[in-house]
Amino acid sequence: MRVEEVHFNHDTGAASADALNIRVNAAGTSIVAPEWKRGLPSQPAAYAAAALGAQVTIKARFSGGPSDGAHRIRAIDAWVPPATPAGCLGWLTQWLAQLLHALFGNVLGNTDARTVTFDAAGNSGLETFTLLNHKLKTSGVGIRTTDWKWQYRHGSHWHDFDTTQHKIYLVLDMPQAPWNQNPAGNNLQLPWTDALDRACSWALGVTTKDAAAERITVAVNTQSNQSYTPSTMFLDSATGAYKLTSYLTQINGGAPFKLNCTDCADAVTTFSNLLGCDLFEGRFFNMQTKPFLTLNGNPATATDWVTWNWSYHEICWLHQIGQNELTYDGCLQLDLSNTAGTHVAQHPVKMPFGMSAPNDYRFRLVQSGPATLASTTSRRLVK
Amino acid sequence: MADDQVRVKYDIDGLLKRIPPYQAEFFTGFVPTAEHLQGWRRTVREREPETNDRAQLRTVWDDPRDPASRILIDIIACASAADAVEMLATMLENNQLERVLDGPGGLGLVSFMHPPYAPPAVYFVYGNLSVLLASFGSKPADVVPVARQLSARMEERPAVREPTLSLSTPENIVAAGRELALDYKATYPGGEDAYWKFVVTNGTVVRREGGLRLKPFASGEVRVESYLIEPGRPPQFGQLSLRVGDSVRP
Repeated sequence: MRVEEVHFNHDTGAASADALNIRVNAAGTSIVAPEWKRGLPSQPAAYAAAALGAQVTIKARFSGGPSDGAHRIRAIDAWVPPATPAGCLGWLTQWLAQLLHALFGNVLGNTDARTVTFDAAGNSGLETFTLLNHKLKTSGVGIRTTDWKWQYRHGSHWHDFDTTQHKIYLVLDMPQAPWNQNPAGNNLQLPWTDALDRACSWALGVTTKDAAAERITVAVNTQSNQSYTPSTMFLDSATGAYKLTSYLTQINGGAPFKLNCTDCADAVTTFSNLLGCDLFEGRFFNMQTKPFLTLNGNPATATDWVTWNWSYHEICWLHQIGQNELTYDGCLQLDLSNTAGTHVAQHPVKMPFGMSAPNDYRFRLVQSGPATLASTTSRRLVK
Repeated sequence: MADDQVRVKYDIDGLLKRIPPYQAEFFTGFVPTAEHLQGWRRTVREREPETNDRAQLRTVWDDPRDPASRILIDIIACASAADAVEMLATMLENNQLERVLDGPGGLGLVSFMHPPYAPPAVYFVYGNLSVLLASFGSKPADVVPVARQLSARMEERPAVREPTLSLSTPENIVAAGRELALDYKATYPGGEDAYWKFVVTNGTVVRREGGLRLKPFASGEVRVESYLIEPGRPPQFGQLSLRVGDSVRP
């Protein structure tokens, strides 16, 4: 007997009991079930934790079964802890293995056991299985691999008959714009696995949206191969879209590259909202700044503390733009020092924009100028 | 379209008036190649899907002797020279600097550049092309000489006069100010680094709905020269002369 197909996103109209609609990147088409099909490379699936209801199901199809017969079938976690030596080293090895399994291993749990019927040729229909003991709602953001051992029951014993492996992305909630879940056509705004690879790594293990947005902000700010320029590098001037493909090419390539505040705001919003956060990009205009730590700067390097005269600066806003709203800025670190000649670098994460209070973003960044807030925000489409 | 403040700051309406209605250079598929950028190695080539009115190409060039030195070149081929100026305005609007400085002379219709305290970058418009060259690596790269090399190649007219390109219009009436379709065809298709250049005298060329349109300026003769240029291959040439006011076909 063999597993022929496993379907995770078996209902493209909802994500309360199954996986999200996703695609790999701007090229190609969306990933459609079955994500696992015998003889083909396995495709990943993604789940939005907060959207999931009481039951999460998958579907599977089998061949080589008993002609016009039936079997009880289930899938269980194939992972077994490695054999370990005795003593402290053994304990440590065991602990490390458990930790790695918790971080990167099975998040789908097991399936329930179903009676699967087979036709005369030994093929089954598409059977629905419910996940048991899954950790999709509690594990937090991550990229995990589930190895399932498929078993059928004979008498009182379960017998292994096949194994499958599945790459599973887990985000906190339904991806927000620019991402959407419209399965129709060649929709570039379906979540990209190329972007999930980054976002889920940067926010690995977090269980709240605040923590996710913070991790993304810090990660965007501290990529080691980037530096600042005032020109926008990843905005399509013709359409207003965010050139996410081009940005991923640069951060994945490793060679040094440049970007500005708009690019950082696009990155923070796009990656955070992919995990279920609710950020927007928004500008404020005309200012001379106080000293701040430049993009990817080293707080101990005096020349990395810079000032600029800007016609605008673009940051991320939680929910909406406004003087009393909360901000994230992946382009710089503020100086929170109150002592002349010293610097205290601080990533602007969920800071009130404010005006003149010591912990206001505006107070810490703007030396002079109106810093007039734009009246609108955006969530630029990705391409 | 860029907002009013940006249009005033960079005198975009004044720049639009500098576009001559009686001559034009127009490109389709312009690609910077290693021939244009001697000493640099192209490591990124990202071509956006072409739309009816524009084509975008991003290339990144690395200095083989110094991996920290890189230059990004964005070229947006617009539907017309006026559209290229509008595109430039949008690009300037998305520059954080309080003001982007006037660029070096002799670089297309107009150019702008970063001040010396910012990482080098230069913007210019040549024909229907809106171009950005920016120092992209961790070490500042002098982009102005590269921009000049690129501009010189845009300006170049290959010394070939044996027509091998087909250049024609299917329309019968040629009148000043009246657009007519301009058809062009090469004897063999170009490769991915091939591009077309059109030089128009007494008129302009614009792109509409995916095709080219010739717009004669005044009575007399409107003349179009076209070149298909590709590294490693002899350039191809074609020409078309029409009496403005006459019938094209008997």
